[in-house]
Amino acid sequence: MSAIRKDFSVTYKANIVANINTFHHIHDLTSLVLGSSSGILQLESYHGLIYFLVTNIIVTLAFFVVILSGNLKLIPKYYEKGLPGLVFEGLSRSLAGFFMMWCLTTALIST
Amino acid sequence: MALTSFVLYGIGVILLINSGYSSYEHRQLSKTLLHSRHFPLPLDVKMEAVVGCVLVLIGAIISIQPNQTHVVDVASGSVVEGYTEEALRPIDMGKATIRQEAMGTSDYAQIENRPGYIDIRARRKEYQEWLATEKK
Repeated sequence: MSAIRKDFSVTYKANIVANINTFHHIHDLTSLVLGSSSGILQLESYHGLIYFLVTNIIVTLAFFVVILSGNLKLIPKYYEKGLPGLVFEGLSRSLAGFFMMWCLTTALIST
Repeated sequence: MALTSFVLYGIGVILLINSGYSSYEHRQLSKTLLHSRHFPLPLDVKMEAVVGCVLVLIGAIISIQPNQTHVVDVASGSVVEGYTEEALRPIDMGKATIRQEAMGTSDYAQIENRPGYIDIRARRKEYQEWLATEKK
């Protein structure tokens, strides 16, 4: 039991939550806008889903490049689980927002 | 920063609404005139929607840029100027506590202080006693 883990570090939970909320705030906002834009572009079935995936990746990349200055080494400094864990955690949330606005604008435009 | 992002949100939403109305008109016209034959959306309507999305994205990312805040140093009671708050907070305990010390507050202040449980009558009595001693 005397083994010393070099990678062990104590983390401050309130800041982890604050950082995750910062990331999710952008995704919440953009998923609503992108959902309505996919309705405006009159995308249907798989096209809309592909549009969602592509734009979601673009938003995540924009966050990574602008806020984390494109440095992969900075991610463990601010996030425990890394960027993929973060994206998959927020995926269902942004997907729900996207689908809601997509359905709404499609219904408004095509009826 | 907040004002810039709000302006960008506003312009983006206006562009989206405008392109949405154009898309609606196009759909209705293609329904009635073209007998619901599939007719592609004009390029300018598409571009308008995409530009609106990009503006909202830029506004959202700008809104979390680091900004300078004026913080009161608790120990000396003076205003520490030019303390830059990072966009993301460091999660390492050591660095996080440095920030807390500089801010003079804690994220758990609400739990630690509990202003709802203050015995206000005892405090008032204490204050009145202090006032009485001051007047003498």
